[in-house]
Amino acid sequence: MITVITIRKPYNLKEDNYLRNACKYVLHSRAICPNGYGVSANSVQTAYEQMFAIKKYYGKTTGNQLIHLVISYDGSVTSKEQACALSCKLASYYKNDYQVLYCTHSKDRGCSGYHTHMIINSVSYRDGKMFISSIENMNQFCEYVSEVTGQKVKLYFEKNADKHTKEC
Amino acid sequence: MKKEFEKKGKVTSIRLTEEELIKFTETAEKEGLTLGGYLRECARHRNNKVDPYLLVHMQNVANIAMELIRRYEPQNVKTAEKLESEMKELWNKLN
Repeated sequence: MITVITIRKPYNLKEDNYLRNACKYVLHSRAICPNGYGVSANSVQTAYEQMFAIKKYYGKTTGNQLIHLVISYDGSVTSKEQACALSCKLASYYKNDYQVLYCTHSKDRGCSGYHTHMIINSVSYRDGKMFISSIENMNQFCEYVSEVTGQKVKLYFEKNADKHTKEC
Repeated sequence: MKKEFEKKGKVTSIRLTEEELIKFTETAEKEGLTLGGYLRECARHRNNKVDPYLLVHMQNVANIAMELIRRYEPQNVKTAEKLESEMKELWNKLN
C-alpha cells in the first residue's frame, strides 16, 4: 500500500522561511532526480524566487505558502528509476494549475522505502486562486495515485488540528 | 493567515456602459473570477509583457531542454546555464 501524507508548516517557522526551507529540502544533495513543473529545479534561490513571483503577481504573498505532500511507495518500487518515473507522473497531476517542485528520496532515515516529496505553490499561476487542501481534493489526488500505481492508497492529513486517515 | 496589507478592505465604484458591464462580467465569469477580481487583474498587469501562464510553460520547456543537456551532453553545461539565465531574465519581467 502507498501512503500520501500532507505535512503542515512547523508553528515556529516564519512564512517566508517556510517556502525557502522547503525548496532547500527538495533540492538537497540527497534528492534523487529533483525536478519541477513551472519552476526551475537548478537552484534553491531560483525556485524560491519563481514561486514567490507568482504570489507577488496575484498580490498573495502572505498566508499559507505551500502544500507539502509525501508519497511513500511500498516494496514494489525497487529502483530509483522506477521511483523517479512515478514522481514525475504524480507531480504532473497539479501541473496545469500550480507550480510543483519535487524529488525522490531513497530508503534511509527510518523510512520504509522510496518516497517522493512534492512542494506545491499555494497560489495558482493560472488564476491566482489558493490551493484548497480539502478532504475531497486530497481524495481525488489519492485516486489518481492509485490509478497511476495500481495500488491502494492511504491518505494521512490534518484538518482543524485533528489527524485523519482515509483509504482510497 | 493573510497579513493586513494584503486584505482588500477598500471599496470604490466605477462608471461603465451597459455593453462594457455585460462584456466584462461575461469575461470574468469565463475566467472564474469576480468582476472586481477581473478588473483588478487588468489594472494591475496592463503593462506586463509576460504573464504567469506563458512563463510557467516556457520554464517547463527550459527544464526539458536542461534535462536533455544534463543527460546527453553534460559537457555543454554552459548552454544549460545560459538557458537558466535567459529564463531568469524573463521571470524578472513579471510584476
